[in-house]
Order: sequence, then C-alpha cells, then structure tokens
Amino acid sequence: MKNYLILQRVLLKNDLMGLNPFAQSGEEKASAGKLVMRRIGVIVLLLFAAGSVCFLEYELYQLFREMGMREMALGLAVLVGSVGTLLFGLFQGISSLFEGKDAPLLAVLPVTSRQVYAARVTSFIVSQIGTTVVLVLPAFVLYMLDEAAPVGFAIRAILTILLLPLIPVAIISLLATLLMRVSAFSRHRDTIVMILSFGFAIAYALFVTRLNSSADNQVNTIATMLTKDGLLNKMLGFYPPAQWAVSGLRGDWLQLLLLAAVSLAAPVLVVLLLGGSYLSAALGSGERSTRRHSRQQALSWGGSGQLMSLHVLEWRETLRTPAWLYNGLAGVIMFPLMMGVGFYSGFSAASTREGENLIKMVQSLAQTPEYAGYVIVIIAAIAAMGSMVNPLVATAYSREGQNYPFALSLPVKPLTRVWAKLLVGLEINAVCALMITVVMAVIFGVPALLAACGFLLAQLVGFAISAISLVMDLRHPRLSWANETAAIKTNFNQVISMVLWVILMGLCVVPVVLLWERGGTAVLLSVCGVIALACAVSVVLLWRVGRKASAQN
Amino acid sequence: MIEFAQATKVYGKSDRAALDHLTLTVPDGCVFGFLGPNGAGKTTAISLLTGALMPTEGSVRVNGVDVTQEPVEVKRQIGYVPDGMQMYDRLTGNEYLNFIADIFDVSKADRQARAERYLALFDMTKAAGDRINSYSRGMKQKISVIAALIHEPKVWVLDEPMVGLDPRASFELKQLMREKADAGATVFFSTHVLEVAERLCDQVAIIRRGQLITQGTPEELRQRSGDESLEELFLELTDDSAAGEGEVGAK
Ligand SMILES: Nc1ncnc2c1ncn2[C@@H]1O[C@H](COP(=O)(O)OP(=O)(O)O)[C@@H](O)[C@H]1O
Ligand SMILES: [Mg+2]
Repeated sequence: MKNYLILQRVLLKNDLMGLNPFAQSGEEKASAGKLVMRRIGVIVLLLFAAGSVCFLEYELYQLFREMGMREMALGLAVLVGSVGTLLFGLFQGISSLFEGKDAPLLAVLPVTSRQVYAARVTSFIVSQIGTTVVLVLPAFVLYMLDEAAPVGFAIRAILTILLLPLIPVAIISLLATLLMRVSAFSRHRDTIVMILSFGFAIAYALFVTRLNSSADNQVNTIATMLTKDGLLNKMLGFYPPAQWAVSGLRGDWLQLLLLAAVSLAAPVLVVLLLGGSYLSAALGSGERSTRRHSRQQALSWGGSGQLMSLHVLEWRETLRTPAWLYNGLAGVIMFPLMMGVGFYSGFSAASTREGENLIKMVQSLAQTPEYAGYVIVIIAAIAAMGSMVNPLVATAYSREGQNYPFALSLPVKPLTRVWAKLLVGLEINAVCALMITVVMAVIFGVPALLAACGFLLAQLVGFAISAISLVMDLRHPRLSWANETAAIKTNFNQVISMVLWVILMGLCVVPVVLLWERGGTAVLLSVCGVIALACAVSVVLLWRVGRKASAQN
Repeated sequence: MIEFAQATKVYGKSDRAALDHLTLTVPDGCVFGFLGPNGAGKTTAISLLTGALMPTEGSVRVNGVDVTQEPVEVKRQIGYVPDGMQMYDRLTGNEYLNFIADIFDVSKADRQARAERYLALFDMTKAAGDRINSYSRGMKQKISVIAALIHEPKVWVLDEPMVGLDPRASFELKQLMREKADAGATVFFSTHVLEVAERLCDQVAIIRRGQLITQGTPEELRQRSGDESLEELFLELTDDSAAGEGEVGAK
C-alpha cells in the first residue's frame, strides 16, 4: 500500500507537469517585467476561457428555465461530462495507459503490476475529474442558485462531479487494455488499434441511435418527447448512470447511492481483473518490430528539397508515435464521423412525418438564394471545428523535446521550419473540413458553390488559428515533457490555441448577431472581415519569424 | 577554422556562467580535443558553435563567419554529432540519412556513395532499414556519425562521440577523424576519455566550470607539468578542492 501511494504521487505529478501555465520553458532569459506581463496575459486568457464556458452555460440555462425545464441543463451537463469522456476518451486512455516511456522503469521497481495499473487508472481519473469540473460546474452552480435548499444540492453536486468520470474511465480502461492485449506484438499494431477504436466508437453511436429510434417507434410522436421528463429521459436513456446522476442531483439520495456504488465498483473491478497482466502488456507496447535480415534490404536514396523533407519528417513523426496519432488525428477524424453518424441516424429516426417535414424545410431554406450568406457562414463555422480540436500544430515545437537543439543546428531558415509544420495543420484542417462540408451538403442539399465557399472560409479560419498558435509554440516551446502523451495532451500551449479559437469565434459572433436581421450578405461580409483581420495578424507573425536570422527567441 | 571570442553563456537567470569568456582558436586540418569533467561546459560551448544557443556575450565564428549573424551559412559547413539520444528516432536509419542529405542538399549519387561506404564501415548496412528506436545506444551513435559525414562537412563537431561505441567502431571513428583532418577539415570533439585525447589530438584544451584552464599539444601540456601523464594533469587541473584556480599548467 505504501509503495502504491508513493508511486501514485510521482505519476500524478509527472502526468500533470505540462499543465503549469507559469512553467519556464527550457532556456529563457526574460526580464522580470516581461515575465509579469506574460503571467498577466496567461491569467487573462484563462479567465476569458472560463468566462466563455460560463457565458454559454448561462445562456442555455436561462433558455431552459424560461421553458420550465431547468433539469435539462443538469441533464446536458451530466451528459457532456460523462458520455463525452466515453466517446472521445478511448484514444486518450490507450495513450495514457500504454504509451508512457516509463514502463521499463516501473517494471524494475518493487511494485506489483496491479499497483502500477491502479496508479495509472487513478491518474487518468484525476485528469478526467479536472475536465468534468470545467464542463459541469457552471451549470451546477446556476442550478444551485435557484434551489430552495442549496447546501444539500451542493453536497450532492460535489459527490456527482467526483463520481461521474469513474464509470467512463473504467469502461475505457477495460477497452484499451483488451485492445492492447489483442493487438500485442502484431507488426501493424497501431493500425489495428486505430481501426478497432473507431469501430467501437461508431458501433456505440449506432447502437445508441438504434435504441432511440426504436423507442421512438413505440411512442411514435415527437410531441410526447417534448414534455419535460420525456425529453430528459430520452436524452439520458442510453446511459443509465447519467440518469442516476440527474435523479440524484434532483434530491433522490437513493439514486445517488446507486451511482456511487456502481462508480466505485467499476474501476476496482477493472483493476482486479486486468491489473495483473498490465505491466507485461505495457512493456510489449514499447517493443518495435525489426525485420529479419535474411535478405539484403534495398535502401533507397531519393532526394527532395528542405521544405518537403521537413514536412515529410513531421508527418512521419506524428504517424509513427501512437500517442500523437491517437490524440492528434483521432479527434479530428472522429468529429466529422460522429456528425455523419448523427445525421444519418437523424434521418432514419425521422420516419415520422414531423421529422421528414423538418428536413425538407431545412433543405428548402438552404436552397433559397436570399439565405446563401447565412448558409455559407454556418457551414464555415462547423467545418472550422477541426482546427480547434487539432492539437498537433499548437504543440509542434514542444513535441520536438530533446531533439530541439539538434533541429536548431541544421542549416534551415526559421520560416522553412514553420511552414513544414504549418502545412501539416493545414492539410488536416482541409481533410476534416472537407468531410464535414460534404456530410452537410449531402444531407441538407446545399448547392455545391455555397458549400465550396463555406469550405474555403473554414480554411482561412484554420490558417489563422494554426499560424498564430504555431508561432506561440515557437516562442515558448515546452520541451521537457515526461512522455509523448504529456507532450500533446497536457501541454498548456494547446489550451491557448483553443482559447484563440474561442476568441476568433466570439469576434465573428458579434457582427453576426448585430447584423442578422440585415440579411445574409451583410452577415457573410462581416464574418469575412473578421477572418481577414485574423489572417492579416498571422501573416504579420509569420513575416516576423522570417525576418529573424535564427530560430531562437 | 573555429574561433571562440570571449564566448559566454549564462543559462536563464543563473548567477554563474556555464561558459565563461572562452577564447579559443581551432585551426584547419587539426583534430582538437575539448576536455573537461562532467558539467564543465563542453556541451554548452558546442551548442554555441552549432547555433543551438545564443551567446550571452562574445561571439563564435566559423571560417570567418559569425554564427549569430549568418547562422544558416555557418550551419551548412558543420557536421554535428550530438551527445546522448538527440535523434529523430521514429525514422529508419535510411530515412534519417536521406533527411539529413536533403537538408544539406547532397546530390543523389553523392549521398548514396557516402552512405554505402560509411554504413559498411560501421557494419550498419543491414540495420539501416529498421527504425532508429529499435537500435541500441551504440547503433544510434553510429547512424549519427554517418549522418554528420554525409555532406562532407568542412567542420566536424562531435560531442562525446566515443560513448557507447564498441572498440571496433571506436577505432574506425578515430581513423575517420584523422582522415578528415588530414584532408583539411576541422575536427572538434569533446571527451572525458583521456587516452583518446592523448593519442588522437593535435591539440587539446581543458575547461573546468566554464573556464579555459590550459591549451596546447598533448606533448606541450605534459612537459609543462613535468612529464606527468595527461590523466594526472587532468585530475590535478580539474580538481575542485584544489586551492589554486587552475594556474598549474599555464605558465
Ligand atoms: N538547459 C540548461 N539550463 C540550465 N543550466 C544548464 C543547462 N544545460 C546545462 N546547464 C548547466 O551548464 C553547465 C555546463 O553544462 P554542460 O555544457 O552540459 O556540461 P558538459 O557537457 O561539459 O558536461 C552545468 O553546470 C549545467 O548544470
Ligand atoms: Mg555534455
């Protein structure tokens, strides 16, 4: 037990290291004044991020309250806080459980495999509790303010926040461990893991929507669904723990007890079940297959320019590092995939007359020439989501880690290096945006020209976000990370890039709201203006990098 | 030719310079050994030379060009073998060599001829198709050495190159260093293995706590200290507990 606690403390500290926003990056000689300025900047950014989450949840809460469905706010928060982890956490689970470089180190310590596994699962839970707090706290607080007995609710809310991530983490740990065992020692392990994980996620999404649509057929009308508890139950129906949590929050202590019992049992069960063989599986994931040298391999001696060569290097590094592959690309691919599944199931669920009518209505709206401006802006906004969830660019320099000094010793102009990395981001953005645009265009019958315009606009947003966050990462790379997962996952620069995205979106929303009544063209033009401004800022930043002779600050 | 002029590096806001006004000239056609105990500032000096760090004060020039003024120009002339595991180890050996050759703009014929020669020399031809992260430490070091030679650098900089090499590879490497220097290149390497320095180097410099203590041919240094072996001299000069500030050797 003592060993376990020591291990737990070290692992937690190690895993969360990169999140300290005030950590000095590598070798710096900032003056005191500059340091203070930077700290203030970081604090303002964080406040802004927190503020925008709170604002969004406040608006939603007010909306639900006016409709007399305060509980919906709780339901949504709980769903986002738990099912979100379930759907998007698998890759993170794999990389935080299996892609740490410290497995060989831990294997020689006098601790059992089960203790190591328990420690790993625990630090995964802790990081998820962190995310849950950020996501659900504002909604819970708002709800509490309207409660007659706020103290009781506060206690239940705190318990719920602590309990919510446990079951998703247990399920993910189970899946991740099984996946790694199945694919162990296969030459194409990364590919197998990737495909199976996507398979799981899609199967789960399909299962859920099937469940829902069959429930629909029984009730057979959207009208009943729109009653207060009907909608809530439908929303939470496919994930019982969410239902227990909401009932518990609303005062049913028995349901809360049920949630606590299952939540605590789940991870313990997983650890007992799979912990024993964890270390050998984790060690296995560090092994690389080498080819048998029975015959001479043909080495190739091709050549290409600096930019191309660096660009290819960037891709190879990403694709060949499972933690970066999962966390960097998976979210970006998962997002449009989920959207496709969602719309598809929306279609199949819309066997009712109301559903059909709804889609027909949207289609006819999308094809009305006067609405072209709105349509372009909406498509661009959704297609640009990829540039927010993509952490690869915002960590491109940080991820070089110990190679950073060597990279600097190569005779490459700073701007060439920037472009080699920036292109990766632009390519990913383009693929993601393309998928989203096609899905939306097909389902809502958007004319090709409008879809193309929306796509292009999304590319400009992607360019601005990528360029700015890349230059920020270049200025303050966080090079000393514990493992590859930490490099991309708990990197503060990535948080900054998300905040940037929120700011840019916020800047776009203001004119949209103000000009909404003035017609689609006015809205479109104002959004284009904001985006052009952001692009101008990024061009200036890039130009300033190019002006420097060397890559250091 | 490499010239350090009053080169100084203070990390962050340390109250002590990791490299303290180093002034040193390394002529062409010479194997130059840079000696010092752990933490003396060898890697720091080399990082200033390769442009990975900016000097806090002073300058470093390579063949007359200032590293801070024209970094790309200088880096093009340097072949650098870093210490430890700094390496794009997700590439195969073959891909890594091609990458370095691309960066230094080496023609296809040249890179193939050179790579094949050095791969064979270090017995790495068969392993070159595997990912570097499956290599042992010595194999990584060998690939690093080959990569540094693939563009025939005028200045060859090696940071503790013997670490991890087996006797055979270590021998080949020393031969290569001699060969390159005789062909007119500048070979600058850091080490704490004294026999290597004693037998291989045309000149050596010893630093301790960031400061240059003494410099000369191995022969000169031995004479100055009355025919001690270089090892004894080294121990004496770099002994922190010794009272004298290392003036023993420098007349
Ligand atoms: N990134 C760094 N930040 C702060 N101090 C450093 C850093 N790198 C090296 N140092 C310090 O500089 C001194 C010289 O280090 P180094 O040049 O690596 O020594 P050597 O290569 O001779 O063993 C040491 O005292 C070390 O602690
Ligand atoms: Mg060193």
